[in-house]
Amino acid sequence: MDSRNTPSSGQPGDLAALAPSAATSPKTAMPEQTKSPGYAMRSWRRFRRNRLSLVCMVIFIVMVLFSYGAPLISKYVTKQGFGDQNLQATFAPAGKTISAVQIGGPNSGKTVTTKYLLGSDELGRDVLTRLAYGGRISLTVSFLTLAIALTIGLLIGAVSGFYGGWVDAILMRLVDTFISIPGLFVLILVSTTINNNKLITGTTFYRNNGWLILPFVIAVLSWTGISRLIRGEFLAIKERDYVDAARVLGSSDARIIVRHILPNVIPIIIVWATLAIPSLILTEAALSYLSFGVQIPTPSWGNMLTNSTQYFSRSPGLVVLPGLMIYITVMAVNLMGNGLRDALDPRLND
Amino acid sequence: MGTYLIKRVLQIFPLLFGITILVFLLINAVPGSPVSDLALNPGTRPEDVARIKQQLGLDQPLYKRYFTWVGNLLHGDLGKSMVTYRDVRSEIMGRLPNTLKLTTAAFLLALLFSVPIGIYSALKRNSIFDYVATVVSVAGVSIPSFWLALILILVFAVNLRWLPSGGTQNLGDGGLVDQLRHLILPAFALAIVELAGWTRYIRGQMLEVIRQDYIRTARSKGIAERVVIFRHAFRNALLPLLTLFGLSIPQFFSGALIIETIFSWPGIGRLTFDAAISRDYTMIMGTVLLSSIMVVLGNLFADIGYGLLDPRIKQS
Repeated sequence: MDSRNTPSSGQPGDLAALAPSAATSPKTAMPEQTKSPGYAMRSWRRFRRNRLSLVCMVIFIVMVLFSYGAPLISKYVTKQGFGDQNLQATFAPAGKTISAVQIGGPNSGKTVTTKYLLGSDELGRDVLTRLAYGGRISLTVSFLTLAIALTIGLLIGAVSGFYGGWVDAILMRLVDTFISIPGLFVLILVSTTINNNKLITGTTFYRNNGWLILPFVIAVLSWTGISRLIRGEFLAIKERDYVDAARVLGSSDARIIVRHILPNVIPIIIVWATLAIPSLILTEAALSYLSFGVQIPTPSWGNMLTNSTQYFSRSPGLVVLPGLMIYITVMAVNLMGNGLRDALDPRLND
Repeated sequence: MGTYLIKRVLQIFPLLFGITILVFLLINAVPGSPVSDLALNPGTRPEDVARIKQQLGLDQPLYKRYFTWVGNLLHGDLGKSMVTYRDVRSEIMGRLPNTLKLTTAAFLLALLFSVPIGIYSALKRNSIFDYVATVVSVAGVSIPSFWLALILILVFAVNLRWLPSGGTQNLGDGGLVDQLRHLILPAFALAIVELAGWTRYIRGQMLEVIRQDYIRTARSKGIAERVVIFRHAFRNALLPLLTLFGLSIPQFFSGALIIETIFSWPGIGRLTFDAAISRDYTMIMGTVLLSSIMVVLGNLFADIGYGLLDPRIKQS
């Protein structure tokens, strides 16, 4: 969709010529010092020069560590689970320490003191803990969606570009059709079908891990962009001499696709994948916000915003914080992706 | 131009056909039906479920239902709501003007800001203005629009009390000023992402065009810089923009769904949301189909505009 991300319009020669050196250099480069650095190394050097992208990569890594470190944060920092409620400590402001006699639960009758570093929500749950767990769900959903969309997009794009003809025509019309339907409408449509289907919702798996359905739902329409990109690259690369050479040597189609064409497409896949993460995070958040995504009580950055709107004036932090997490992550990945694109595709930065 | 136009118009028919299949399959191919919920109620007799199924046509095989649906579509009949039993088409047509009002306002807003800012940053490359515009547009592209909507409500409606937090007009008012006041926040929230994206794109396009030989030729002929920029450069930078505008239409509709929900804006998006909550399958199918048709038509117009503006296409 974004024509700036489509390096297919240029000559793929430079990239194709560069990529094989990445595959061969580890074997040959080690003994001799004079050998020029490989493709990955040169890309990394180019990337490193872009300070902003580097900073954004660090921010993204911090976000990932924060999210996947949720159990540690819960255990050692906040000492609260993401579902622990305390109705005597609702809407605590950030940094407030509240002591309350527990009613029920394992600590019933004892006075428990809790420090709410980022405050608490309408049920007295610790916001910091929930942000970490919410991030874990949001990021996991995005990564899984990416993996699924990449698989579908890669398969369809590769087949379409490699074989051409009526297969290509049909698959690309399919892509056109998917692109014509506004994304969120499809997502709501599919989400409604799945979440109302007794055959799916009745299973224990759904009751425990219902959010795992979500990546499949979002992936249903996220594969179109990459499949078009891959198709364009395959169309160009399959005409190259070394592909002919491989065919003359008797390589099967599958071998040509996997061993000879695919390695040349990897930089494009990496850039696309990085720049796709922000939109996937936003999609998950929007869907969960509308209550068609991750279902409560499982926290996600999106569904933490859903209820918070009712408490606008009482506790604006509940609205600001989850959104800010989404915003920072999305912006960091976007800028990181831009740097990555410049670094991996030397044609763009002359 | 004539053949190009006819070809392009003919292309949309298989596309629309594909959309009907896709929309129908996405919602109906999964086993189970909206009626299966009824069976959960112990008071519902099986014959009642069967009767309602028959009324809604759900007892027919899948392909028959599809052809009935499409057949009715060709007559302009989108069916009846499964929840309210009201006519889907008249419901949608009642809401459509509101969505068009909101999306048009957002579109104009995005256009009004992105074009001058984009051109100016390209001309003053690496100036302070350029840096600020770049930072702001990167920030704008990444912002979750629904969160921005919430923040806008928090600031301008809850705290400052300058603007209303939702709806299209005050009860008993409805004058132009009142309607515009209701339009500002949702239109801005809907516009921001496209606004920022377009600004970056226009800047990039202008930078590219300015480097071309014919711009140097125009300058060397001694033509005023203003004329070079608007007559020579911008006209050429505008072409790919038209395609971009076409591609933005689905984003505007998707955005409208969530923005309308937040601002209680009675449009197609809000209708879809409510229909999804109440599991009104025919209604969702209707709204999804309608918004897809709008997208297809929007792209068609963008391409026709492209053809009209680009003499290279006119000739072929």
